[in-house]
Amino acid sequence: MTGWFLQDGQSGETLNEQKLLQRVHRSRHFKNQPGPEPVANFLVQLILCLLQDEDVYLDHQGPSVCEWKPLQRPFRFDNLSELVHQLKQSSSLLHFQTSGSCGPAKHMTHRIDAFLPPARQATDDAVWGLCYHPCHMAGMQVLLRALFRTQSLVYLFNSKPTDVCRLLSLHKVDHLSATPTFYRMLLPLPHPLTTIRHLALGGEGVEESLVNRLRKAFPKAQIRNIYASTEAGILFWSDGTSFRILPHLQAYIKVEEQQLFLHHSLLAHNLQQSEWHATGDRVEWVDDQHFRILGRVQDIVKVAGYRVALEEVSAAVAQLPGIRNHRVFARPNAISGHIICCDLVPTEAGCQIGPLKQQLKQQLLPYQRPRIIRLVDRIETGSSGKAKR
Amino acid sequence: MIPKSLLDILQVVCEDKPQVPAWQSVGRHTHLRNDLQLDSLELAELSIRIEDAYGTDLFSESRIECVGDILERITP
Repeated sequence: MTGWFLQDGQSGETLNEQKLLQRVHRSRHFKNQPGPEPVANFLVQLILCLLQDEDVYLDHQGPSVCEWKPLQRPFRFDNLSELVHQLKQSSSLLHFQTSGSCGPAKHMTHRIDAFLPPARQATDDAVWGLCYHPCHMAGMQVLLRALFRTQSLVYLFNSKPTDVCRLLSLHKVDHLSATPTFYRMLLPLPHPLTTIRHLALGGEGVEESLVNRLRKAFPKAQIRNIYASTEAGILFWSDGTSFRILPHLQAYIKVEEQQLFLHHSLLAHNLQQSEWHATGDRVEWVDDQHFRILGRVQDIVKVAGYRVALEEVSAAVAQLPGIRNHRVFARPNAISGHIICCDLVPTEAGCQIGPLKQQLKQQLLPYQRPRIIRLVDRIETGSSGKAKR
Repeated sequence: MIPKSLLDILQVVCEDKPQVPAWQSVGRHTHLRNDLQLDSLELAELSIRIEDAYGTDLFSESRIECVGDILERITP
């Protein structure tokens, strides 16, 4: 396929430049709370809101319930670049909710400049795999950054791993950005995929073994681990697991009691009341310019009086052979406070829990060990694409 | 008579304990700590497994010491 396109991996619908411009031109009404699917409709409604300078309400919970509103005037553009130029001038605010995977959902707003791609050489022929929900900050980052560079997109959110593999090859996707949970479900691939040139992962803790598996599965890809949040967008990145703080950001972060804090000037438009924002991420310094994510502050639980970091348990579980994906979580218990549990997705049928338990016994202390282990077909994820704790 | 489903749960929780008495001798008076030698983490595991199987959180409301105490709570 030549020229810009948005391919819907679920419905098979393709929106090319001509169709997009026609749909924008023919529209007389718009919704400022666009439903996420089909993704082509979502994109058209988003564009109309931005052109109207109307605020956009991105609710990942379900379809739009708001009323259609009349457009002030029809919008006509001769090409995509002209449309993109206009979109970048929009004064709309984009209203998001955090996924709620890390506590109560929070509301936050961003201006359009939070989604402008960094000023580096653009590769207009790039094709992105959109693996995030488009109403989430990460999905919107991928969608708008690609659109602003007139780069094509293949919508892969909620697609089965086998379909994802097929669509990546079919549409020659070369940029992929997703959560570690998404990649764990995707691996192992039937064969290494050499078309992927840039691969990003973020939103969750990443174990070194996953990075190594990704290097084998995508041998031509530059792999980047990204630290981003709905509150602040993309801030840091890494080739492995330790993030470098660029000099211009050094005065805007601090770490107290192992928790990362961000200066209010880095945050979303509506979160700039107090000077420092607690991210809820536990970090440790590697050196004075690099830090490593240890996990979430709330993912420390007490088991029989001992502090257990779920990420430490997760790192041990990730080493188990024959396991594609996993989820470590804590259940409240009247005797021990909490008890550690674990769901495992085996790569093949016939997997036995006994030997896996024995291996974990070698690696973990008694109070860290998952006591209830279940074999499951898949790990349940939230709309953010992250594994549910 | 101990239901097989409860016996299965006890066997899973005790699977690493070679010194546990023969399962045919386990009865109402078998003591969870003294006879089955369950520590607090294993008792926690037992309570979660019973909660999942019978919908009853054993240890949140009453003192459970013997297999018979469990039977009283799970038997309708």
